[in-house]
Amino acid sequence: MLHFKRILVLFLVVLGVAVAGLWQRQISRDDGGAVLLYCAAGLQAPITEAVAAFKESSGERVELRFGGSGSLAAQLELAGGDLYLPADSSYLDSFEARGMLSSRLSLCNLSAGIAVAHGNPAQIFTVEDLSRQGLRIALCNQSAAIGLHLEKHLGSDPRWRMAVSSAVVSMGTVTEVAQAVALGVVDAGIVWDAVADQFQEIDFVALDDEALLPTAQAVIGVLAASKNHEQAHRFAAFLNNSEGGGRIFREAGYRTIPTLDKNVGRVGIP
Amino acid sequence: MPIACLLTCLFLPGVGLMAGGYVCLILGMLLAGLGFVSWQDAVDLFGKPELRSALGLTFLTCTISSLMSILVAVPAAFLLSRGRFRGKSALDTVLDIPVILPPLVVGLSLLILFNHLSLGEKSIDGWLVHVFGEGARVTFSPVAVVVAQFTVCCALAIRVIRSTMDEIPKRQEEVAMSLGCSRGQAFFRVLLPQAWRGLLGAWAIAWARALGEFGPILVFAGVTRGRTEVLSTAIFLEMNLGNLRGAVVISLVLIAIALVVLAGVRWLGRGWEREEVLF
Repeated sequence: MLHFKRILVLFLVVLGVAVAGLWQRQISRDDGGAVLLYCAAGLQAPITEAVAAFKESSGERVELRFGGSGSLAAQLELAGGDLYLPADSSYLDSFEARGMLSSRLSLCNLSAGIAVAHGNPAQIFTVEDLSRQGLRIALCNQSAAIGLHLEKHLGSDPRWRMAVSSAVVSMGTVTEVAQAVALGVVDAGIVWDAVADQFQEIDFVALDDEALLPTAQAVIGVLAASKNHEQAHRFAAFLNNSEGGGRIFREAGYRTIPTLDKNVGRVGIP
Repeated sequence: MPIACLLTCLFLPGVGLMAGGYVCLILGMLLAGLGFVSWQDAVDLFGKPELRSALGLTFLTCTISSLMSILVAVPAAFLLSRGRFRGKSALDTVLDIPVILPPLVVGLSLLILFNHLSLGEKSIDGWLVHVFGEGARVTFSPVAVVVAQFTVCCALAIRVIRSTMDEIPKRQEEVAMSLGCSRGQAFFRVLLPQAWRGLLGAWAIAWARALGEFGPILVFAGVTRGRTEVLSTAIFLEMNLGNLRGAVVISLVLIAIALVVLAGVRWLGRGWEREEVLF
């Protein structure tokens, strides 16, 4: 009985101290003044750096939330936010069609290609090669931008259908595919060029057929429901600026789009 | 007869082989992880303030969610173990839902519950912000990590505590009540002191489960570096950055913490057991 009382007291003390510690974190990091950006997992590296640079130059905070472009869209619809940066602009097209977007800015071009182990030991160069017997292929499902992009442009191509049917795994984010190739779990996977650059263990085989598979654009959208509209747009403009976010994206291996997108300002942006 | 003899001779080696194979699988995973990284990788990773913050938040949230689980699980398990009422089976089934649901569904359901279930004019989060200010918002905050962990861990704790209470004979409580104890006194003075080992086990399982929780946290608390990042979600962030070694280091740290907690609880249980025998 004595033990039991001691344990009960210890229990309550530990719980009290832990709750106080958590509450301290909860209130000390009040979100007031920060804009919320939902960002595709494949763009995590340059965006994290850009957010730090933006805070240093303007003093304004941006809170980041990462994931697959599709799953982020679902989270965003349920919980709201200020900015959305999927790895492919088609997600924003759907938001725009429903009047959920107030403006959009293009940041960089992304090309889908084949990630292979360093030195390309399996000699994979084309989409046809992916359906070769004995190869282990990883692809992204349509919750990731690259999965949607490939399905949209190659969905009816028989060579692509063959490759899809021979894939051993379908993953939720492009970085998971790159990791699988880097770890040697699969022989090849389809990834964005800039994502492949982040992994020393993999080589990127470009699919040089623009007619077959056009370049995708990473476009940041300012949401109509944003409560920090002006600040959200300032950050989007910073990313689009060739000396701001543009420089960070270029240094990380992304092909930036230097001029402001033609769509800027068309939905009443200051 | 010779076949029966052969089966008898092969029984123990067979059992040993199967159990040993599983142990080898677990140890193989650990060794593969250890062989993949170096000590320097760990030093580099935990030199980052974000990772130290994630480590701190992991301890805080796991501790709170596991203790709260025990707090809620004890009365729930008591109801299921000792209660006789209509709808008991339905209640039992409902309490199993968080365990059988896919983790992402738990996260999504919490997201909808706090943001879209309308209570008058506002959602739950809306009311919290309206009454207590922006700091009380649950979604995408450190508190959301606790809520996500608690939702799953509590159901597990209830299972463990209930099976402990089922094993304790009701007779002693009935005797205590016939001698003048109230129902509450019998619960606190007879049942709970006997169930402490089960409570400790339930706490350890809840803590370890909270440590590895990922899906509900990803969806409901989000993965925000330095804010809602715990070790399980830090692995996701490091993998997104292409830092595989970092992700493996964090995985090994998670395993080490879980081992220490489980071994510690086991050691405490034995220590107390010996003490009880002595006195």
